[in-house]
Amino acid sequence: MSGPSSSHTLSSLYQHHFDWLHGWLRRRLGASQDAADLAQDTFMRLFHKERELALLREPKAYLATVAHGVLVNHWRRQALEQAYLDALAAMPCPITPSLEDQRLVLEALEQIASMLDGLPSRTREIFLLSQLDGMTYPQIAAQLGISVNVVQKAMTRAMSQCYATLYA
Amino acid sequence: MNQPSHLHPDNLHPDIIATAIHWFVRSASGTMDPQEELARNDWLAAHPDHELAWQRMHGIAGKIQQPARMQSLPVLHATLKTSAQQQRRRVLKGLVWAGTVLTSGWLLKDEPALRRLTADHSTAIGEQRQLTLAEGTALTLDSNTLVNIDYSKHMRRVTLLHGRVMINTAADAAGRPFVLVTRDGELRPVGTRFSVSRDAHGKHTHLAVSAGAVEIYLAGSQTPARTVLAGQETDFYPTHALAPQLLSASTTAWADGMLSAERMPLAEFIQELARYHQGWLHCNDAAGQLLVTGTYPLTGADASLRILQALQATLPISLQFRTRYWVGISLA
Repeated sequence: MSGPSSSHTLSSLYQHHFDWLHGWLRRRLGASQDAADLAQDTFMRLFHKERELALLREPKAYLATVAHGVLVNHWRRQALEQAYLDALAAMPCPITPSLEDQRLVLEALEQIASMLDGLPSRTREIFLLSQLDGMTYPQIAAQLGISVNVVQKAMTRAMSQCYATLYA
Repeated sequence: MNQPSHLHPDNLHPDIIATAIHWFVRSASGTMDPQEELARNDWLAAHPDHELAWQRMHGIAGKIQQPARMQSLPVLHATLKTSAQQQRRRVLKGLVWAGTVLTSGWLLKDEPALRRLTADHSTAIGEQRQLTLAEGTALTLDSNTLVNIDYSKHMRRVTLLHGRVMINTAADAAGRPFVLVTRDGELRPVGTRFSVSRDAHGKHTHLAVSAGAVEIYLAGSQTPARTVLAGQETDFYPTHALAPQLLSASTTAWADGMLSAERMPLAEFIQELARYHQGWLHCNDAAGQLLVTGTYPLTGADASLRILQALQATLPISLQFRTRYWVGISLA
């Protein structure tokens, strides 16, 4: 176990590794504007982790792991924004909500997307038909051509993942 | 109830959470009968923790329904669907770059989480799942496993990207050969039940045959390197296959939802258990030499934590929880 002499603090990490992390992110993003923001976000995430930082043996690998999470969120947000604008434009009579409303909708969607991340697309669809559209399981089963039992299993899986995302 | 959330991130018992999820899922079905409703209400009233878990369920539902107050449903569905597809492609593209720093343990656990998106079928850590393919071949996926299934006109191909899978092949009416592929080579079974495992960062594939026989073709080779018969197990690398050994009963116990050991060094046992543990398990050298004998059920949430506690009751070890996910094991 590393003693106090070799322990890391947030400020020492920042001093020694910010440039490295910035470069790491830039290689993944292309544009350096976003990379600097995301590097900041990465360090922001470490604020309450002083105890874990003190035990770090490989700070770069740890930073890269945290930065990767930040990057995935960034991509999720970007994908949502683009998909949202496309969906609005594709409506038969497009109504553009105010920018403030758009921001609120995107924030809410981002939270949903993070809870459903990695679930199979069919499971997501079932869960959303139930919770967003309020359809009953027999209705969902009929619409998707599957059994009620499959619907119920998908609901359990999705709900377990949502719970784990928020509370575990 | 004003506990700081970072001190007690989740103080509810997993069984309570599982029951709350069950009742929530039933309540959303639209097909609940009055008796079920009574049973649910009894459960809710039985303990304040039940009520807390129930509120969390409704909190989740509320988050899903929130955007519907501001935006029409077709737009929301389309946005969520398209963005999930886009993000999937994006994360995969990002992964191509990821090779450079994937050298330390910090990242090892993270990478499979990304690659999971590419495959046809996957399981989360702690989850096991059974699949039956079109022609009747049955697959049991172990914890944290990723397989890709590709059935074409001429071939039934299953690729194991990482994790462990038990396969019970069925005869194909179209006569297509079945092949299981890993990074180290291909396996061609003859009417069999066999288990294959490949760790994401391991250097070899493990094969255990319960019935029939399996031929091993090393990566890029056209001739079989070895034939492994029922009751044998072996390891193979891209360059060679080891001589088969007698199959130990504990090797395939996982497919029945059990982790089984007979005088197995604790270090090895913990390595197995780590497959089912969300987070980091570390066993120090002294404790690693203790011998474990026993059969432990792998099912249920937090199975790995329950197994660790059971070990603690029978072996002179102590567990250090740095966080709920990061557990150290040493001699008591």
